[in-house]
Amino acid sequence: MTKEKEPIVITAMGAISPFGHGIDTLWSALKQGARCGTPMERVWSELQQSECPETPDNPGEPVWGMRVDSSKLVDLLGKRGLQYWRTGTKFLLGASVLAMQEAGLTSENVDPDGLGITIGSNLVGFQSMVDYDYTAITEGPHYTSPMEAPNTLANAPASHLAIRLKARALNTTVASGQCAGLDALGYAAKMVRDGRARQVVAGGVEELSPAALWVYLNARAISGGTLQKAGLPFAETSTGWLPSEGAAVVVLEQAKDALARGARPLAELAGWSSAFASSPSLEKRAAVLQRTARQALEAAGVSADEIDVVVSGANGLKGQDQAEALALRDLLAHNAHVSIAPVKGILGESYGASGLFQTLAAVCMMKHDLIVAAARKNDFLLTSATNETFTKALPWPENTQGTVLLLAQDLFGSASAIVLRRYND
Amino acid sequence: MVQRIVITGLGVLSPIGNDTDSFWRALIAGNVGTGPIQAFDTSMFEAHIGGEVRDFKPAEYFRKLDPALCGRTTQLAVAAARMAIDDAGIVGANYDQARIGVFMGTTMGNASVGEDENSRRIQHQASQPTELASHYAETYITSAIAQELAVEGPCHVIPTACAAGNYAIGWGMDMIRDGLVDVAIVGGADALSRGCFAVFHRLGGMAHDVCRPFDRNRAGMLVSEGAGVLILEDYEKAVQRGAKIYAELLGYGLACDAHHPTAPHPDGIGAQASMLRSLKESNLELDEIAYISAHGTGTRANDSSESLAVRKVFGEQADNLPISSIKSMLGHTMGAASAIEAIACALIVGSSIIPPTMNYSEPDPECLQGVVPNQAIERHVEVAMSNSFAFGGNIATIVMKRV
Repeated sequence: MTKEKEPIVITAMGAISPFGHGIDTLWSALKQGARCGTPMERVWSELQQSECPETPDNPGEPVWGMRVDSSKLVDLLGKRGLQYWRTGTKFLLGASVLAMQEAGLTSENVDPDGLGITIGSNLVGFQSMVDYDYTAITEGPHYTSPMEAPNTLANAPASHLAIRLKARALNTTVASGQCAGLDALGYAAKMVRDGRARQVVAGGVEELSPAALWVYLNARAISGGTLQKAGLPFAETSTGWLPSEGAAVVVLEQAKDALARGARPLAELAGWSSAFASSPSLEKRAAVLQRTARQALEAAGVSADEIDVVVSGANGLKGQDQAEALALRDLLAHNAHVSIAPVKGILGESYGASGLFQTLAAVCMMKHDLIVAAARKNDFLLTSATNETFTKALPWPENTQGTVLLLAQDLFGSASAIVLRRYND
Repeated sequence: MVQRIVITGLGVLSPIGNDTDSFWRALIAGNVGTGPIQAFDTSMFEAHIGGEVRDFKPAEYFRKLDPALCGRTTQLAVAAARMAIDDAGIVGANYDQARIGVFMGTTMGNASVGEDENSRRIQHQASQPTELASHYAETYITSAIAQELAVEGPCHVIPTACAAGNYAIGWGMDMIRDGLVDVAIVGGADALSRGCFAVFHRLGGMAHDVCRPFDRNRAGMLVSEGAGVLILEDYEKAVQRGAKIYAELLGYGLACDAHHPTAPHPDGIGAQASMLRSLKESNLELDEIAYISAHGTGTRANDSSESLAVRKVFGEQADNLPISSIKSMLGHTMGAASAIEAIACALIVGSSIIPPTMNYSEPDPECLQGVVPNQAIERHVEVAMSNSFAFGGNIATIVMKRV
């Protein structure tokens, strides 16, 4: 993304998370450092009672996850259509309805041909597909539901959302693993910049279905143990991800369009980049992540020394976290004031949605002038991380532009970075 | 001055051929590649016909990864990408590997991994290897390609159902224009999926013998598999290195019906918007389009709404425009479909031969009349348009030109 004159800005946010509906519950969890989690049921298919494989490394021990309470979504979405939407679709529709409300965008003032949708997501169709196939071959093809048919696809939430919002400019789902959220933002920003859409609802969504959990377990991203040891960013003792679910959404538009309609920009999406490490070695992954970050900074026209906060993608899976720590050590070598905020220590790892949750965390920090779930660079570099390392709430450093770097790495080698900064007229 | 993007490499695996030459020969000969499905037992279904890639030996295309630990969609994608990159002569062309990206569409991803797990559980067999199970994740499709080809630019899977190939092609074009990559490996892949077959079977949209796009007696689509990959490069750089150029990609258009989860808008409003947007971006007048590669699935709803949309956009010209749906020969290769159709378009503008729509016997007044029936024709095509539509009303159109 090359730097252009007209900034792309975030004008609204919405979330359905394990902490509740909306941004406030998310922000208050981040401020308090409150983790939550429940033991996960490990069945492969919702229709079939056989258990999925034992945790490869700690057989018999529970795995933990952060679940969304879906019971109140009906208040937000109404009853119409609800029975035909899978969990992930409900999350995305809920978060998007909240974001559209905050943006002040309604069917009265939005041109459907100018409204686009871009969603980062990976596993939302998998459970439906497994169940559809299972029903067809065990009970018979006529026992499957025609209404369930579209839900077997990875872009089902985005498609249902387009119908709900009457968004006709474009409808894209991006599946780049843990990078999908940041890549969806990069894609959306490009669509807005090129005029393919006037506003884009850019989001991420994932659900903790048994089938999704099966993928995470087989990828050895999660393992059994206690909640206290799951999902601790940069910590030696961490047992892997604390997997999470939900949807996070922002509305993106060109600053001039936002201002013309009286909307208040919350932050500028100043740069994005993405790359791939073609071998899984720690050094290669660290080098590629660092290159990605530098490319995003260059697109934003800022240097690594100007970063105030890194909203890190670290999630407690050692290989991924070590690569990021290595990348940050080099990238931030000459930056004296930067803080590291690995927010997944509180929010969990929501895979395709995580980049959007990082974005919401970053914008909240800018808005409240407070860096949370964070440590100063030296505390991060000099000590071995523990449960207590990233609990500080730090004031925003003075006389800075308000620049935040967001990072993501995928299990299979992708890396992405976004640069956000405070919007100034 | 808009940067010119050209297509310099092609790779395809399909029910009518597993390399570009045999695919093209079969296509213009009108070979129908669909038939009784071998990949899984169809006895519980009332339909039994589909399209399969036959005699595919993944090991021939893999040099680093173990193909047995990849789902079939990934295997097909890697094979097509390897073919395309070899065809374009990218290796040794002095490109920085960090500036080569991979952008692939898919509908079902590696659904076969989930389906195999179902079969194993029903038969009380052991689970699949953990690596194979974790490689279900759609992002592994581009990750496997990038690892095999040792490229390190952005890698994105765009799972926008049956329009995914064109979405990926458009995004790859954007990535070059945006300066993030010099070469974009773009396309789509989908292996035959039992779950996908069950979906279309339940929706009642499947043919029982052959696919008859735009025919009055069309009875539905056929689920199929394949992979198509194209290499996109900057025109100047391609000329400089003496690359063979198949066609120039002029632009793309996206749209969404926002109407129904599985049915197209009856007036094809998204299709109209998408075609118009692709024309505007390509800076073309309507009468410059010489051929349309139709989405043409062979269902009643698709072909009539697509016809209506083309008539609304092109007016009086619509029924004189040569069109074909190669799905009559391949079946519907899902996320690969628009990528394979893009390959066909690149070959059409280069060769001045238009492949036929097979199985066509009776025109339908509700459908376009310019269908090229049952036999390829010679016709100079300066500019071709290719449509793709998907569940959720997701639509993407691309336009390419002879160079």
